[in-house]
Amino acid sequence: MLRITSELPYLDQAGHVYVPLAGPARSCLKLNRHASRVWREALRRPVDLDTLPDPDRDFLLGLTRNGVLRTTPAPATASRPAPRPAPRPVSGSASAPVPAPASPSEGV
Amino acid sequence: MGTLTRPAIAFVNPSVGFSDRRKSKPIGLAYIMAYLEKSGFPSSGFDFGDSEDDAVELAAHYSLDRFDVVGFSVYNESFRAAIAMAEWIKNRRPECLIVLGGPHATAVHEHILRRYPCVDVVVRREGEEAMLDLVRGLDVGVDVDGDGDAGGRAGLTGIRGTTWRAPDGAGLLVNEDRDFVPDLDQIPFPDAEFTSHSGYPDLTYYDEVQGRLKAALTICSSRSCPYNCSFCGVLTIGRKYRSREAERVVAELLHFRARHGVNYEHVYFSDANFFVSPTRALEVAEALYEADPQVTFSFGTRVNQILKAAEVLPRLKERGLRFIELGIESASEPVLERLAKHVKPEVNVAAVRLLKRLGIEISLDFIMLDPATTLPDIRANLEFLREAGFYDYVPHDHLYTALVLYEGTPIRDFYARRFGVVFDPDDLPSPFTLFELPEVQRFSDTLRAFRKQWQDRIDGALAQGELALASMADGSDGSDGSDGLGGSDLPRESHARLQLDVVSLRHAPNLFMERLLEDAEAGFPLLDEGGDEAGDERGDDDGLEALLPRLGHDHVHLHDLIERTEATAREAGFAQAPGVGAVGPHGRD
Repeated sequence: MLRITSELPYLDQAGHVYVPLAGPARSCLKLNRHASRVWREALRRPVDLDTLPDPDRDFLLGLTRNGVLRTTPAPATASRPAPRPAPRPVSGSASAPVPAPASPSEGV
Repeated sequence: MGTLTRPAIAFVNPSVGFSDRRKSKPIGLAYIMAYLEKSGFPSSGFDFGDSEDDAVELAAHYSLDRFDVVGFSVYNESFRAAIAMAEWIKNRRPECLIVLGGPHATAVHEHILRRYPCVDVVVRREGEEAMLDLVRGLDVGVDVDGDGDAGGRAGLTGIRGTTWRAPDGAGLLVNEDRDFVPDLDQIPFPDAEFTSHSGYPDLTYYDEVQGRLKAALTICSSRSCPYNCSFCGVLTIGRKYRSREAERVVAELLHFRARHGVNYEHVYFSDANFFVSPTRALEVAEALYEADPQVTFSFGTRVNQILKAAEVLPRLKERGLRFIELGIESASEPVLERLAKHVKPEVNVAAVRLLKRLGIEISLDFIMLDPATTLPDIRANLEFLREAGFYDYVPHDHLYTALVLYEGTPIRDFYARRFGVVFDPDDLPSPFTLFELPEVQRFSDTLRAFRKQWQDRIDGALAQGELALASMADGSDGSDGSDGLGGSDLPRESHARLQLDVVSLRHAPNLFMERLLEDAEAGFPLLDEGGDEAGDERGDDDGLEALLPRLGHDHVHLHDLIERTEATAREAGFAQAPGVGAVGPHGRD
C-alpha cells in the first residue's frame, strides 16, 4: 500500500483537477473528469496500485515518475483496500467520447 | 451663379455610446467610400463609433457642416447620435444633403423621414450603387455657393433603393429596391481612411502555435447569410448570400500589406457566415497558404455547418485556421427555438466536441438571457458551459450577454406581440429590463452588480497573472529551487500557485453565477440574508458577499485571490498598468 501525495498544491474546482507545472512546457495540466476522479481517490487514502486498472495505474505512475506525485509506504495500521475508481463516465450524448486516463489532459 | 464642382462628401460612423475594445474601421462605409473614389468622387471618413463625447460637439469640432453631402451609417445604438449631428449640420447648412443608411435606417426608413426633417434621404440595404447615383446627380445639379438653387435634387428622388419625402410634403417616395451588388469581386477593396477621435489600436493576433504576435487584418469575403436567425441584424440589409473568389481575398491581403507597409500575417474574416460553402472556405485557405504559409486566419459560422463539413476542418487547420467564432447562442432548446437557430442543444455540444478534438479554438457567441428566459434555461446554459470546458474561457463577456431587440428583426416583432406593445422605432429597449419572470430579473440584476463590482478587478489580475505566466513558459528546469525565467526569480511553489490562482480567477464569475442560480432556484435565501448586512471592508454593498465562491487551492475570498495574483505577478516582475484587459484564449486583443 502506498500513500500518494502531491508535490505541489493543486486545484480541484469546477469538476476538474488542475495540476501546476505538470503540462507541456511546465504549463498547468487540466485533468479530464475520469483522471480527476482517479487523482482524488489516490490522494484520499492509501492505494494498492496493483488493484487499479492498468490505465489508471499507469497514469499515477507516470505522474510519480515526473515528480508531480510522491509515493511513500503507508503504515500497516492505516492500510485499507483502496476502492476502485468509479466507472468511466458516459455523459452527454451516447456518442460522447470517454476520457482515457492515458491522455488525461485538457487544454486550460 | 454658383460654380459647379464635385460635391464635398463625408461619411460618418456615429457613436454607439460606449467604447468597443475591438475597435476597427467601419467596413461598410469603407466599401462605399472606395466605390465612390473609383468613380471619381473622393470623400472624407469620420469614425466616432466608440466615442463617449457629445455628438454635437464632435460635429462642431470636426466641422461636419463644411460638406455638401453627409452620409451616416446607422445602427440602433447610434441612431440618436446620428440625428443630433444631422440636426446640427442642417441648421448651419440647410443645403447639405443628409443621407442615412445601414441596418437601422433600412428597417425604419419611412419612420425616419416622417419624424426627422433634418434627414433628406435614406439609402436602404447596400449603399454603394445608390450613393454613387446620388453624388453623380448632385455633381451636375448642386449649387455650392448656397444660393438656394438645389434644383438638381429633383432628379435624385427616383433613385432605386432610396426613400424621400415627397416634394409636396404629402407623403413619401419609396423607390423600388435595388438589386444587391451581384459580384463582390467587381467592387474595390474597402480602402478608405477615417478621421477618428481616438485612432485605431494596431490589430494583432497572438499565434500560440507559432509563439508570436502577428499583425492582423480584417477582411470580409462574403456578404449576408442564408439562414434566418430571428435576432440577426445582418438580415435587415437582405438575405442574399454572395461570396468572393479566393484569389481576390489574397489580393486584398497583399494590397493592404503594400498600402500600409505592414506584414499582416493573420486574417480575421468578418463575414456574417464565412463557412456557408466549405469548398470555397478551403479554396480561400489554400490560396492564402500558397501566398504566404505564415498566414493564419479565423472566421465565424454556425454550429450545424461545422458538423456538416467536418471533413474539411483538419485541412483548414493545416492551412492556418486558428479559431472559429461559433454562434452557439444558447444551450436551452426553447431559447434556441425562439432564436430560430434550427439546431438542438446536442448539435452545439457535438460541434464544440469536434472542434476541441481537432484542436481548433472556439470564440463564443452566446446570448445568456432573453426576455422570456427561465431559471431552467440558465441552468442549461451553465451546465453546457461547464461540461464543454468553457469555465476556463476568457473573456467572460458571454456570461453577461442579453438579447438585444434590433429594429427590423423578427424577434423584436415577436416580443412586441408577446408584450402587447409597440416599441418606438427610435428606441433600443434595454435588454436588462424586459424579463418576464421576477426571479430572472433579480438574477440578472445581481449578476450585473457582480460584474460592476468585480469584473474589472478580475480582468486586471488575470492580465497580470497571465502575462507573468506567459513570460515564464520557457527557461530553466527550476533545479535551483527557483524558476529563474525571463528575469524572474519566482520560486517554484509561487509559480505553481500563480498558475492555480489564474485558473481560479478564470472560474470565478462562472462559480459566482452557479451559486447565484442555486440561490435563485431556492428563492434567494442567501441574497436576502446578505442584502440585510452592511458592506464589509472589501467594498461589498450589494449583498453579493454571501454568494461569492471560495476560490483557489486554499479556498480564499475573491478579493484575496485578486490581491495575491497581482502580488505574485509583481514578484515575478510583470506588473501591468491597471485597465489593461486580459488577452483571450485565442489571442485577440
